Parts: sequence; structure tokens; C-alpha cells
Amino acid sequence: MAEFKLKASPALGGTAAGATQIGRFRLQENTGFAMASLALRTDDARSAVDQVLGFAAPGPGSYTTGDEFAAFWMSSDQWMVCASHDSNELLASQLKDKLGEQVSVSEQNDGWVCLDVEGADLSSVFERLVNADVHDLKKGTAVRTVIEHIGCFLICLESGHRYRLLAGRSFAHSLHHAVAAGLRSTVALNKLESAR
Amino acid sequence: MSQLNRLSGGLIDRSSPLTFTFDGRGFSGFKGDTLASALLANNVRLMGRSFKYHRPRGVVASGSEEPNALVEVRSGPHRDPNTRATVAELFDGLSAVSQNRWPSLSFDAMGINDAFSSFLTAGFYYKTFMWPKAFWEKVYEPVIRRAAGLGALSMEPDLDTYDKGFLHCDLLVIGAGPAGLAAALTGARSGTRVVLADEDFEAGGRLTSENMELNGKPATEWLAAALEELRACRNVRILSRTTVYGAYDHGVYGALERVSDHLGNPDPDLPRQILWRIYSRQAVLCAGATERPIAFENNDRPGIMLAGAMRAYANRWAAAASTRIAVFTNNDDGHRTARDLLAKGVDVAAVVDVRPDAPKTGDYELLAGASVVDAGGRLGLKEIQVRLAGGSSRQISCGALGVSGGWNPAVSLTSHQRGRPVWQDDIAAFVPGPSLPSGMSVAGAANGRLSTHGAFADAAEKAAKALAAAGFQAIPVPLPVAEDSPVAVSAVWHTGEGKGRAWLDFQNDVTVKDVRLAHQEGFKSVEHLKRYTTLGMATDQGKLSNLGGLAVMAELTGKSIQDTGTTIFRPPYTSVPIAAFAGRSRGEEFRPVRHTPSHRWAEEQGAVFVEAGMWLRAQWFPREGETHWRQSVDREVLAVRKSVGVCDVTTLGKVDVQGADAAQFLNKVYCNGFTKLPVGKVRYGLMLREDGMAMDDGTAARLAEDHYVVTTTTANAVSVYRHMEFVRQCLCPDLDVQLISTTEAWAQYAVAGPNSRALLCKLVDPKFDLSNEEFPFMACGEITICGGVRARLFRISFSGELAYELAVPARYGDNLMRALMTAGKDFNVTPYGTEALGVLRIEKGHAAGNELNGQTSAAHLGMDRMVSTKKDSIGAVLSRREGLCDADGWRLIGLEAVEADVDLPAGGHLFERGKPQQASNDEGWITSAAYSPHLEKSIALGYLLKGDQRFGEEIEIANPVQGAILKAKVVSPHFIDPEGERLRG
Repeated sequence: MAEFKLKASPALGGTAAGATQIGRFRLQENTGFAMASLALRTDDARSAVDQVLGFAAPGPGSYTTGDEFAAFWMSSDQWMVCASHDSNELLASQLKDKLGEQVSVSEQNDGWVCLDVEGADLSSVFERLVNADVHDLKKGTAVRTVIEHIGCFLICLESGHRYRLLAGRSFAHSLHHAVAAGLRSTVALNKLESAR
Repeated sequence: MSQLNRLSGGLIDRSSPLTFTFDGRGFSGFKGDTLASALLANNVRLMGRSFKYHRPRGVVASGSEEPNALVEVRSGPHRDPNTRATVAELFDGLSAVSQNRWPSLSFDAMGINDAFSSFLTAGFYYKTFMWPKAFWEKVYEPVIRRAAGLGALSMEPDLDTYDKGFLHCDLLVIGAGPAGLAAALTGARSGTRVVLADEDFEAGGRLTSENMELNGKPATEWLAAALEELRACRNVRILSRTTVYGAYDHGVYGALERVSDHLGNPDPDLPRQILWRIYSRQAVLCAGATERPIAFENNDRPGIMLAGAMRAYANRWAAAASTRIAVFTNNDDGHRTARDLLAKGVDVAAVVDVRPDAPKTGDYELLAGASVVDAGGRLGLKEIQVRLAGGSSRQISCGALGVSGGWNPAVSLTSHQRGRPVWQDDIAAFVPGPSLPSGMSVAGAANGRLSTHGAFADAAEKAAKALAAAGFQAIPVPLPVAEDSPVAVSAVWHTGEGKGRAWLDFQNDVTVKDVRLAHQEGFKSVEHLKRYTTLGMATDQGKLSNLGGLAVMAELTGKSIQDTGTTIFRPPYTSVPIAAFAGRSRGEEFRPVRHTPSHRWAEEQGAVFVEAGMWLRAQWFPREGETHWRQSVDREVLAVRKSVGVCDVTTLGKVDVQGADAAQFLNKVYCNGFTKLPVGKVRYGLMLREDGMAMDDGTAARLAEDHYVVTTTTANAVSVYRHMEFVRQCLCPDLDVQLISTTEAWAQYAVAGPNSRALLCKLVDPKFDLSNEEFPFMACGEITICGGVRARLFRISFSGELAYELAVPARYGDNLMRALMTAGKDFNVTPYGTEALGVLRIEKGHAAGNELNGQTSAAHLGMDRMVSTKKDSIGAVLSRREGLCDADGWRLIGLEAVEADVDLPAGGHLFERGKPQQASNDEGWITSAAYSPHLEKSIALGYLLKGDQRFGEEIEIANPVQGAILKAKVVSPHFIDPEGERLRG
């Protein structure tokens, strides 16, 4: 029995990633992700990758979910594969074991902070955070963008209602602050609108 | 005070009375009023003082073009100077103060300037304040600035918040007057995404200001129905209180939405303003037109205003400037003002029309072929002097004069990308030229279609064409029946009588005489005219004055107005606060901050942080009783040398390099060899730029045959990754290699000192042997700690001690740091920060960013033998240039202070003893300096010519900044353990 045991901490710190409720919006860190970047070494590997993922690896700007894995496009022949951390902490080595030297896989489990945002008419929030066309964002879109100088991915889980943000883990507090400020100002703007 | 000049009707909400103050006096108004309309209703004509002469001024316009009625609203850090009273919405409790006057608006001591006007003509300061030269900056300019000016900033940080936003649309419609509404309706019914932006708080443009009918009913009925339809369309976004201030490349427009300026007590979470960037596929500019004045002597008396504005105040805001008014016009539009005011029960003294054949269209006295030539009434208009058609003159008593010199299409946005407007003779005005910003079309009055019918028809047609260009089929909108009067204007710019001053630019106090003077002195080009006289340079950007000024210049030069041309229109169309451009990027939120996983732990220890890029890194950890940072740093350094210390090095860049050709790739980017590095080993690597200069250093650990982890310095993490991607994609596209950053995925800690192994053994799972034999210097491996947590261990040393870097998945970083501190208690483990890290590496002679500053080579660093000749690598060939590897060139050396209690200054330049300290004798410089608690003296690293041959020599260090010359002894850069026994121990 080891003398010391290590406990995991969320990117936002503390022992549990608490949800923040702002008006009708809910903002929460999602710590349940295992992530691995997967890059093809040969074009021939594409079908093998599709087979392992259980779906066709998504094209540019897309996010696809399957039974076990989800993936979004990162760059040419490169994807970020996501899975439940509880059952797939060793996601990178799992993928590597299955795909061998056809691909390069890098563990990214803790490289990212993941913020899930839910609530009605989220487009009205994100139109003041990212320069993407958020009102036209369809489910399954993954946009590489910038929020207050923080590079991130904006993934649409449900158009207008549920979005996922992924950014470098070290930016967790700044990103959370920027999004929370956007949510608060949207609530205030909505109040002003309804008072008219 | 009761609202003496409040008329009947209007679009104000009389069920919502409001109170406000102006210069401390209480007034009342109604919801829907602007500050200007409410003041006029309260019989207040004097609203400001002019810029230079401090002349009493009243409101001239009813929109954003207002030059005179500038006030300060709100107070303290929320103070907003130069607010146009014409666009300031009235709210209960509004407090406004006039500006640029002392002690009061009605008695302004600086009004004395007006008496000296003959000395203060255009360009006076260029001529008057020539001598002595030194006085300009310290005396003349401050005095002039104090005497002349507009509103004053609060000089406190702005406490309001400002948002930025991004909108995308198929069709952007700029302006919600008749043309804008027709364009928006066309877009809306065609199912396209429409953004309709309007600077007013009530849409409708002139439909709200005119007494007109559409389809035989009041225009407001059609307006209400149109707005209701647009508001119900999910594909239409209406931005009211939003000024589109700039047209940029690729259909991108800048717009400022004033969200809460009209609220007395806004929600603290509400942004004051939003700066929108609108991405449009097509845009229709329906910005309308601006009426222009006619210059005559003393035409700036409070109460003299544009005839269209006078009409708008009466029709929309039910306010008159006076109970008795007159009109001076050169076109039919002036007569409309007389008719509307008469209908409201205002006494119309006369309509003075310069046209001999002017039609009489109402029950008022018409003075055809006559001109207003002078006006009286210092604080408010009392009478006008009229030169009648026959040459005689007549004085007419009135409290307000509406002036109409014709209408100027608002062409500003059409010219933001250097397009030039063209002259259209029949309306005597510039209209948009053929060269418009990509995707923009112009409709309505902005396009010179000045009738209501013309505006509707033009906009519907332009919108349909724009939609077709965007790939949509336009669905036509039935247009209302509207007036379609032809424009009948006789261009008159000034009445040209008398010796007095006739104002062209009210805000900058530029007169017809000033333009004459500019012409006389050779400043004839419109651009020179503008700079010499300041015509059109103020906050209103000459919306009312530019054309008048250049028309007068055209008269003087004998050129046509078209040939005289306009100055360049640039964004912003109206003022945009700098704070709106900054958005939320200000103060502590100026940029994001990056935290390492154990940041919170470091905060708990009271760490003092330093910014390293966006990262916050612990600089040192003060302990009780330590009063100076050096005490903390010395303690931390000695603790590492004596026992063990832990430093958070998570911020170092980490690049995962994989692929069958990974080794070959690293051989390319590093100047030293990597193919033979065994799995489980780390190697120090030096990267060169293409030009052979040193770029960055770091380590590469080989975790598998086809898998390396490269570390970079914190500062260069991004640039090195970018460089590696460039090499991969552009220089070596055929190599099988893949890169990705893993900097943030791993929390990494340097554990350094003689007891570092003993400390790690308490955490590393027992199956991993850390003995020197099994895990020697430069070994690396994937291990587990604390009962199975995956980790990576690197036996590398920046401090020169026995040392390791231990990496765990970032989620365990905070807990690992706490475990290291607990496990290390027996060894008196000490956390150390970047300052101690710096001292340790200087003592060891390890190069860092200061030594890799972009002007040094491998030879300068003493690493020329690392540049392999057995392979090709980036920068290798050019690093062998004579200037970069000359034996007489710079070499990295160590320096020890000769005198006691002297700090060697980083940046100090090195000279041979006794030689004059001038550039030609400069032999090098100090790159890094520190006090070494181990050696108990000040030491430094630096570059010195032939430095490696001069150990033992005493040299001098120039420190002109602190006025001292110091002595130092040249030594090896390896102050500690030059043989490297400690780190291999």
C-alpha cells in the first residue's frame, strides 16, 4: 500500500467541479473526458480508424459521436478522440494498441478544460463571445475559434441549447470568467428586452 | 419650469413625464424626448459654447450631425463628455452639464476670445507662437488647450463594461428610414437573414419627423405596421440605437450599439455599449441625408437651426424653438417647415427664399429673392436682417430661424475604402461614386433620391439586386403611395455681405473669412484647407460644414465643386469610445492568465508570482521573518544545494513527436544528432534558425523508437512549435512525423538536490529502481507513483544538482505538489521559484533566454562542437559563417565581482581595463546576473570577445544608467561543479 495517494483536481480547482447557474443558463466543468489526438501516418489507415471509432472520422468543422467514442476534426488527417475518462483513462494506449503503427496517438486527457454550457437561446450568448456564425451552428459542428484571446473549440451539442467549450487547461479560470460574464450580461440584456 | 414651447401632438409619451437637470436647473420632459427637444420645449436655446471663440451656441440639428449642443452627461467615472444633446435620450434623473465655459454658460469669461477674433484666425498659432521655440510644448500649447476645447474626461477609470459581438447576415441594411425599411422588408420576405441597424432609438427616419401621408394615412401608421412585421420575422435582427460607423474589407462593418446610455440606473451586468462586427454578404446603405446650413453674418446665434430639424422638433417631439420663427431657404423644403410650424400654431414671421421665383405654398409672408444677411441676439436670436429682392433691408423679429441650404446624401460609408463621391448638379450635392465597398449598394436619400417615393422605390430595387447577388430570389414588397416632389434647389452657400463672420463649421469655429485666408495664403487644396483651418476636424467630422467650406473655396479658385473635391471620409462615422474598442480586455482582464495545476497550492504558500507570457509562475516563496526577496531566494537556492527543492516547471513547452521518421525529423530541427539516442534516454538539444543563429534549447526524451517528447523554454513554447510545424509541413513534407503540443496535459516538477532521489523514492512505486545504475543521469521512463498513478520521470538537471523532472497527468498536479511537500519534510524540502531557478542555472552556467537572445550563435555559447558535421540540420551551414564562429568572437563567460557588496548589472557592457568606454572598444555584455549565496558574491554570465581565452583577466563593466564603473574577473561560466559530478551522483 503506497504511503501517498493522489487525488485528481478539476481544472477549475477544488475537489469538485461545481456548476454555476446564471439565470436560465448552466455552466459546468466537465471532468469526465479522456482525450487523445490521433493522426494518420498513412492514408490507408483511414478505414481502420473509422472502424475503431465506430463511425467515419469527421471532416473539417465537424464533431461526431458514436457508442464509445466521439471525435472532432483537428487538422488534416488528425482528430481529437474523446471517451469517458472513467472507462477509458488509457484511451491513448487503447487506440494505439488497436491501430498500431498506422497512426500516432498522443494522450491529451488533461490538456484541456471542458466547459459545458446549457440553456435556451445560447446563440445570444455566444454571438458576443466568438466570431463564428453561432446562429447558424448545427448540432455536430466543432468550430475552432477564440474567446477573449483564448484559443478554443466550440462544439454544438444541441443547436441553440447545449454547447461544449474546449480550451487549454491552464486557461480554465479565464475562460470560465469570460463565459460567465457573457451569460450574466445576456440575462441582463434579456431583462431589458422584456421590459420594453 | 413649465414647458413653454411644448406643442400639441408628437410621438412623445405624455403619460410618462420625466425630470432632469441642465447646469443644475430642474426641467421636465416626456419619455421619447431627447435632451435637446426637452430643452427647447422648456424654452432653453443656449446649450453650449463654441470651441475657440466661446460664442454662445444653441442646437442646430436634430440628429447625430449636431455640432453645437455638446454636453457632459452622467458623473464621476461614468461621465461622458461631448454627448450630443440631440441623440441623448431623456430619462428620469438625467443630469447634464454644459462644457467649455467658465464660470457659467450665460457668462463665460473666456468669451473674451471673441473680442480678439482678428488675432485668432485660421492658422494663428502657426504664426503667432513661433518664438521662443521651447515655449510651444510647455507654455503655448497647454494654454491654448485650456482656453479652447470641448468636454473634459473624468480622469478616472471608466467603470462601465463594454461588450464586443459578431453578427453574420445575408443582407445588412444601414438605416431604418423609408429606404431602409423597404430594403429590410424585401430581405425579410425573401427569407434571408437581415440585420437592420439604425442609430435612432425610434425607427422610421424622416417618417417620424415629417407631417406626411403614406397610402393616404399618416405615415406613422404604415411605419408601425412595417416595424411590427419586421419584429415578428425570426430572420430579421433589428439593432436600434446602433450606428454603423465603418465599412471594412469583405463586407465587414463596425457598429456601436448604445445599450444602456438611456437608462438612469442600469443593471450592473448590462454592458453600456456593444461593439458589433457585422459580417454581411451584401449591404444596402440607407443612411439618408443631412440638411446643410447657409452661412451669413452671425449665423451661429442660439435659435438658428436647420429647417428640417426645426420641423422634426415640432412634428416628432412637439417642441418649438420659439413662439415666433422665420425660415431662410434656397429650396422647397424650407417651405415645408413653415407650413408644419404654422399648423402647430407657431407664428411664422416670414419665409426668406433666395430664389426670385420661389413658390408660396402656405399662409405665411414670402420674401422671394431675398437673403438673411445678419442676425442679432447674443444669448438667443432676437432678430434677423434681411436683404430684400430690391436691395433694401428689413429687420424681422423672431426667436428662431430655420435654415435650409439643401440636403447632402450621407455618403461617408461609401468612401471608407477610398471611393470618391461625385457631384450631382440637380440636387447640388455629392452622391456616392461608382467605386463602392465590395457588396455595398446605396439607396434612398443617401443615393440622392430625396423624395419619399424615390427612397422606397430605390431601396426595393437595390435590395432585390443585392439579394440576387447573394444568390436569393427577392420577393417584391408592395410600396406605399408617397410624395414624390422633385428637388428644386438653387445652390447658395453664403450670403456674402458685411464684414462680420459667417460660420461654416460651428464646432471648430471656422468662418467664410478663414477659408478666404487659407486661399489667400496658398492652402487651396481641400486637404490643406482642412488642416489649415481645422474645417471638419471636430467630433462631428464636418457633416454640416465640409461642403460649405469647399464650395466657398471653389468660388475663390474658380473651379467647379466636383473638381475641388472632398476630403477623405474615414471611420468612425460618429465617435466610438476607446473603451468600446477595448471591450472586456482591460485592467486585470487585459489578457487571459494561465495557471499551472498547483497554482492554488502556491497561492496558499504566499508565493510571489511573475508573468511569463500569459503564465503566472511563482517567483519565490517568502517565509515569516523574511523582509527582502533576496532572503527568500538565497534560502531557496541553498536548500537545493544542501538537501532538496521542488520547482513547478509545468510551463515548459512539451511537444509530442511521433512517426517512423521522428528521429530523422529531430535530426533536422536540432543541430546535434538524435538518431542514435537510445529509448529511455534524454538528450540536450540546440535549435538553430535558418540563418544559423541559436533559436532555442531544450531536451528531447525518447520514449519509444518512434516517439519523442521535446521540451522547450516557457517563452518559446509557441514559436518553437510553430517552427517545427513549418519544418514538418513545408520543408520535410515527405517525412512520416506527427506533432502535437502536450504542454498542458502534464504537470511537471523539478525535484533537485542531493536528497532528490531519496524524496522521489517515497512516492515512486517500488517496482521502479531509481538507483544511479538503473536510472542514470539523462535517463527517462514511464513509471507509476503513489500506487499506480501514471507518470513520466526524466533525470535532467538545470540546477547542476542531482535532479529529476517528474510529470503526472495535470489533474494530479496539485496533489503531487502537496505529497512532495509532505514526503519531503524529513529532508526539509523547500519549494523554490523562478528567481532561485535563475540563480541555480547561472551558478551552473546553463544558458537561458537571456543568452539565446537572437544575436548569438552556437560558437558564442561554446557549443560549436554540437553542430554536427555528419548530417544536415537547419542553420548548420550558415552557423559556420566566419562572423558566427570566429575564434576571436564572443564567448560565453562567467564574471565574479572584484569588489565586495557590488551587484553586477545585467546589460552592462564589458571593456578592457583602462580603455575609453566607447562603442569602438565594446567587447561584450552581461546577459544574466545574480547574487550567489553559495559563493557569497555577485556573479554573472555574459559574452566577451575571445572570452574563453581570458579567464583570470580583470575587466571593467560600464553601467552608465546607474553612473558606475565596476570591476569583475573573467572566469569559467561553470561556477558550480564544473566536472558535473553532482548531477551524475
